Amino acid sequence: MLRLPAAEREGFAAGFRIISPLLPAIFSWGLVTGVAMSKSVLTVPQAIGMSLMLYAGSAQLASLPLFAAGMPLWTILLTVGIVNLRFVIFSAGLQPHFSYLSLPRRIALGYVNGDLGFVMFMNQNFGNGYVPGKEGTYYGITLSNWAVWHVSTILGIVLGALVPDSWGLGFAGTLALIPMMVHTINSRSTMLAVALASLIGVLAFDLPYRLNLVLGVLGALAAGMVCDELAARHAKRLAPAHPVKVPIAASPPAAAGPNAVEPQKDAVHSARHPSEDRRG
Amino acid sequence: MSTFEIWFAFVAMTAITIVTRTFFLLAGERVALPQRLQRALRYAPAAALAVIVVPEVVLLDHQFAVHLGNHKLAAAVAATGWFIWRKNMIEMIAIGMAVYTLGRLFL
Repeated sequence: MLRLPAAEREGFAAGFRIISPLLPAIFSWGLVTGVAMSKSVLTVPQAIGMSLMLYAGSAQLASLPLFAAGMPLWTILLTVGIVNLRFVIFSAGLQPHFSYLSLPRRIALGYVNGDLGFVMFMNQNFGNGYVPGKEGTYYGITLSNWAVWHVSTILGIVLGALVPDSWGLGFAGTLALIPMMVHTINSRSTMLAVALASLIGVLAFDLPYRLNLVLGVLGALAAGMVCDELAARHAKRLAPAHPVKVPIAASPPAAAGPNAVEPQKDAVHSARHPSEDRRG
Repeated sequence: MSTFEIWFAFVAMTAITIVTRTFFLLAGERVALPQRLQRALRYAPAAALAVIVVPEVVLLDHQFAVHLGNHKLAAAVAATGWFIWRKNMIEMIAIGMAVYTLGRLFL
């Protein structure tokens, strides 16, 4: 650590300054996650172990009811995989920045990535490939996030274990998933996808092995892709009339539900556009 | 689940997390998901969270229960509304838990 080049050390400090305004939010999110984990079927050492290993808040919270219901391992792994899918897209964003590094360093870099850290890093608009101080900045951001997350989660697990179960604090884990959901709803097509997933999730709830999760997500992907396709066609049709830039509000009538959740952005955003800003 | 199974589950979950987080970093330039698929993947996490959260709050004992007597639903609606309005997670959790607890104790 002490032998790092000066540029990377300065980058690290800059990274810390970039993320520091968000650290209270990360702390509170970690605290709630920890409390919810302490109220699950996991013992305190198990909850701490899971949190330290996974380092993935939403996936941790999402898997708790599955542990409680004694679901088979594959359904738990599938849930973790789906909730983490956004990181596959994030990794595509990081790839051009760090592809020059060795494999172990790329793995370490990916492992410490989080939603907030990713967004803050990408906001810095570094050039591709090696840039002095870039790797330091990345680690300044992500490791600050990492440290605050672990401290707050473990604190939540320990404090939560002191509170009687009858207070119903386990429900805080369900509530804590809502911000992540709301933040990802940044277009009508996401709204439609989420609404459809919810509907399928409820209707298919009694299917075994949490198959409602698989069906809900597949339904949402299909609906989202259809929306994107329609929006793209709509944009193309309008293009000659408005040659500059058309804000796209195209969505089928089914999407006319309660979609005033977030400021609407156009439905055909590029895949690299990160819509979340909560750590996960 | 036995203790061993639980820890085995954690190891497997961690492996999945690392694979998803490092997917393109591992693959380097050799692999590129089609743009269309990448766009579609954006919908998956929100959908998965919705499938987990919504049934938990609209179902009571496997029965559809969309009324204010369902404390979890009332709490989730209040919390979501608060979060959209104030963008503050701690306040949101506090409001949600307050509605849930008051409903549970007094209604």
